[in-house]
Amino acid sequence: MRLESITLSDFRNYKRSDIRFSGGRNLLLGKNGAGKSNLLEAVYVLSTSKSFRQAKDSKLVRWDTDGFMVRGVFSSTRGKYTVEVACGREGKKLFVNGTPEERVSNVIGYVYCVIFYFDDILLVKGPPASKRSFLDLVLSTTDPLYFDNLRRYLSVVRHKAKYLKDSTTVDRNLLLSLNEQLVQFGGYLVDKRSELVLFINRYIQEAAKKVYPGGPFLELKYHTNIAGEGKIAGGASTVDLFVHALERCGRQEIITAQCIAGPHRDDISFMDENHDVRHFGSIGEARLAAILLKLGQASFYTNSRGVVPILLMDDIMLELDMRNTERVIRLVDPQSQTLITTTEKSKLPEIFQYDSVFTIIDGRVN
Amino acid sequence: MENRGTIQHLINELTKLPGIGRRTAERLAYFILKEDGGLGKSIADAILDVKRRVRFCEVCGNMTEKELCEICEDNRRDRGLVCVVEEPKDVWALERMGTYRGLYHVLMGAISPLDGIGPEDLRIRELLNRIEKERVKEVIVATDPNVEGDATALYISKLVKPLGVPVTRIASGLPVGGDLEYADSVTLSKALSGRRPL
Ligand SMILES: Nc1ncnc2c1ncn2[C@@H]1O[C@H](COP(=O)(O)OP(=O)(O)O)[C@@H](O)[C@H]1O
Ligand SMILES: [Mg+2]
Ligand SMILES: [Zn+2]
Repeated sequence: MRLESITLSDFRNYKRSDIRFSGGRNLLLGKNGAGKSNLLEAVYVLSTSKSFRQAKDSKLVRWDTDGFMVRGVFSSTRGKYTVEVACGREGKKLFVNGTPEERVSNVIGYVYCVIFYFDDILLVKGPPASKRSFLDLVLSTTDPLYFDNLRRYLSVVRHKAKYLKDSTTVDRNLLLSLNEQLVQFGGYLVDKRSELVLFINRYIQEAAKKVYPGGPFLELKYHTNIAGEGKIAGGASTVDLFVHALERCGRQEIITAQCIAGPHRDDISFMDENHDVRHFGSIGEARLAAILLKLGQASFYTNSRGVVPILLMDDIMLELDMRNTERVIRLVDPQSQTLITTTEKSKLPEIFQYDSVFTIIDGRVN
Repeated sequence: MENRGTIQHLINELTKLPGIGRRTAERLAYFILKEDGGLGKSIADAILDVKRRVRFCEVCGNMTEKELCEICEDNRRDRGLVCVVEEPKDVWALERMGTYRGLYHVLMGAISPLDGIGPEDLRIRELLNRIEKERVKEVIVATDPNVEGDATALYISKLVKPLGVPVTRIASGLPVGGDLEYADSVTLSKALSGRRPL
């Protein structure tokens, strides 16, 4: 899919800007603090209604104004359409082709983009919660059923934890009922997460073959405690494994008043020939792993939704040497539209051919 | 100052109602204060009337002005069929559809540990007593299709099944995360005919 043009009004440090992009590679050039990341953030808001930087809506509003508006004109296999997110005193509103949508969350499914930015390092070196949020975001935006199961699963986890904490004697029937729900909703999460990780891992293996003759042997692994150590064993169904894990942890769950067994404790890790990149990787290696993960996300969107997502690359070459930057650029699907920021052209390798350059100064685009 | 205390008292009372926050309570209170068509008195009378005359059916928990509700008193209804719902308003939603001919059992809520509501806070014991005393042939659980409603349904099935009575769950062709109350009759009748064993 392609972002043809975007209009920003009172968004971050942009007063009012209209920008037309080209379908291929767009280079956003500007000094620190010029507004490059802000522009990518605006595009991202059109795909999820939220900032990728976990910023509250109020932070997106230009200082001393009352609200922001971002409108994008997109084209994809479904034709040309506009998506607009407006945020004012009465909250946030979504318009698709000028018509108001009942809920802002309806934005999901119109615009697929993948953001590459500083915090991606957390997907390699960060806590399991960051990794789960990544899996949840990718799966929730491609599968409404996943989102529904996730919501319900987390709600049952909270109910169960509260119940274990509050009750002096445990009503076995009630615990069984809650566990049955955990298996029903959580089993779906485990299946989908393990499929996704498998898909991305396959992508990474293919990618490695393309640009690294002979290595590296980076492998993405999914860890869920319902399977004990390692991955979901062949043969046993997720439901059986989950039921078993709940039985196994039952006593400990009651003693500690915590939910132990289940995908709310899932984790993923990158293994570099039996070494966990989380502990042993250099920053450059971890950055590369994170970028491969994000490229895998893009490939997953193409595979599952039939759309080539827009790639938003925010200063990705900061920690990479020229060789690795080149590799990353060669891996980018040539069909995808890319918005890539940098402070100086010289930081990009020669092989990077761009279709348009935009110079950004103080929230104005040239 | 004294006046402020009086209106403040009304505002405080209103905030105790579900879904009413401070600001709404203030708006309502000042509206009632300014309005001079007798609305304040008629609301107060209506509330007193309801509290004086309406109570809950001794058998099923539905709303009634007598000991038993109309449904429990109606001899033409199928007494072997009991539909379990969370609130009296759910009985009304199902009755509006007009095709269900059995009896009801109102739980007065759903199991929700986060809100401090456990099985003992609901009319589950009463349901089990009914099943043992009356000739109940099937229990249909029509709690809301959210996690609390589902947990309640599962819990009830675990207690009722050992008594030898089949338990079915109303199929959820209902809006995701929705409340029974908001479902339209078409979806409700579909859901009721498509019930499945628990
Ligand atoms: N809500 C806001 N209103 C006005 N300016 C903002 C707002 N939020 C951030 N800024 C400004 O935006 C600039 C950062 O822009 P950013 O896009 O992150 O820079 P870069 O070009 O380095 O990526 C900072 O100078 C900051 O002061
Ligand atoms: Mg930046
Ligand atoms: Zn009754």
